[in-house]
Amino acid sequence: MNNLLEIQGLSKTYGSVTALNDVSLSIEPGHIIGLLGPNGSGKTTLIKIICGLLQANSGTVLVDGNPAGTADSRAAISYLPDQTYLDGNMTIKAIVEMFKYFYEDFEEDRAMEMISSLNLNPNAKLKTLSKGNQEKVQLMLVMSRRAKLYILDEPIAGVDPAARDYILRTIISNYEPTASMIIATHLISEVEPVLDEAIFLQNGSIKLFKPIDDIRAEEGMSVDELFREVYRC
Amino acid sequence: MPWNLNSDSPIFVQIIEHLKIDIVSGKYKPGDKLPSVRDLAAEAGVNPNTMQKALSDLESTGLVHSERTSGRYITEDDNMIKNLRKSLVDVQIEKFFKSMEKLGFTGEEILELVKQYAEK
Amino acid sequence: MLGKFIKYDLKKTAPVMGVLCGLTILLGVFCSIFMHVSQNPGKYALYELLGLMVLCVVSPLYVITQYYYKSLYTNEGYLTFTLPANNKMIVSSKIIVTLIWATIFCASVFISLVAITPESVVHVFKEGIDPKALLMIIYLLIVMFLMGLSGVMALIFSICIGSRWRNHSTIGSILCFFVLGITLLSVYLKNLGMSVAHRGDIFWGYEDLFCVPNLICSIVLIAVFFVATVNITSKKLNLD
Repeated sequence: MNNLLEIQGLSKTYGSVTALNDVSLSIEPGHIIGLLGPNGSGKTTLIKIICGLLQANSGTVLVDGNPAGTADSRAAISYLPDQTYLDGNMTIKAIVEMFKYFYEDFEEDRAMEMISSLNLNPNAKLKTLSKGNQEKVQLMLVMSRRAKLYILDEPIAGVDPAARDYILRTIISNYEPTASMIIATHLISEVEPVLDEAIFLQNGSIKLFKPIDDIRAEEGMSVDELFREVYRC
Repeated sequence: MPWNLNSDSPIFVQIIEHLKIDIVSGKYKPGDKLPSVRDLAAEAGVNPNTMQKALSDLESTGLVHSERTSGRYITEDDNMIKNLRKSLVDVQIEKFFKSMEKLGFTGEEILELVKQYAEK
Repeated sequence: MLGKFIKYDLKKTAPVMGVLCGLTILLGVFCSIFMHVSQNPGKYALYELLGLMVLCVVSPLYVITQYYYKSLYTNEGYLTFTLPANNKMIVSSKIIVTLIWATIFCASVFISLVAITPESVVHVFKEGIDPKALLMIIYLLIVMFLMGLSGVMALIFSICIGSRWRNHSTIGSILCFFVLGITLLSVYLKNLGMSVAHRGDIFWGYEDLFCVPNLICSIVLIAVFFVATVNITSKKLNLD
């Protein structure tokens, strides 16, 4: 089993609405992949199924050879949700302790280094931080793990450009070549240089899955421009 | 500060161009050690695999060579850097002449204009 | 891993729950002191009972079920359900922690009640007690405790069912708990009635409320609610 992620025939419906329609894809180690698509195209649904937070109607998902939702598959994934998921009454220090307690691959030194580079007070309660800083704390936690598959859902939405640069730099400098990363976003131009492959999702189906530089060479335009063309209203 | 990349050509091609300019301009001197792929990628704000690809490409031209354990170095061959500078100069001049010709000037006129500009 | 989860949650909830249990015991001690120096001991016995009711029914149950609900069914579920364990283990650990606190709290209530009349304890130690009567007391306490736990499990199960309604989870939970509460009560009262009839008496006693059928029913209900909550929550997990 070489693939970090192996998805076969995955479908998910909410009542009569189809969120994912027969999605199959495999991801090898060593890539940063953009999961791109307009709102409602199924990005977050796909991610939640991979993490075991949602149950699919049909199809299989294997993470590092283990079915989604099992202890081993969850241990392999470091997931950043598209919303705050931390208990606001906890301090930064307490949440770092929690991650250290539960995740064997969590590197406390790395986390503390990022906290000090962000000038955050480890004893501050999470609810006292600005939204941007809360997002940075969550990213710090996620990137301090030595996971096999990182899944970041909209990591740069809703933060200012300086914070975006910081987040993208953090992603690049903490990334290990034996791991892979999926970044779901609709802010393509900001993230594009960081990616090496792109998946276009449309109405729950994969429309395109290609290396970024192949897209640029073949289409003579950036992925962002291609995206605007494909999804033109 | 990430490097300025434009949208129309592949990213690795633009990284190569950027690194070539850094070598010609003397940011990296002959024999200098290059930062690691990860650091360069973080500086440029690009994917590490893409940076790796660009560096491998530079290696195949001989501008950069890698020592097994210690990393990548700029060539010490001055001639090669001179040639690189010349080829970059040619590219710029060609671009300039093309856009001037579009404005309707001939070779002689362009030379005269350049001379006047330099004297100002 | 299960032990690891339980340990973490116990530690996290210990400050608040510890204080509540401590207050319960202190209440008994203070009431006892006032009763022994006061002319009107009945008044303080009433205070003790009222205080226990507030502490007993409202606060700890609220604190611990709130913790349970938040960590599984709200945004925090994104963190809880991505920890390296499967859904069943995560839900089980949360329920077990709730039950552990319920047990510790029941023990504090018992200590608090005993503290009001320390003389009775001294008396038992001095004079000794009929082993049969002692066993009976222990049995009654155990059945009472298990029936209480079945109520807590009914609440946990109601939260699980309530969360199936996306926008009306609180109302759903309350409604479900109301229905389950009435069902539970009628089951227990029916057993009580049958026990009374069996004895051929017209007045009920504690031995009827805590009769063997009620012991069996409470154990079965706890098990059914536990298994149902774990299975429904883990199989139907759909975090939005």
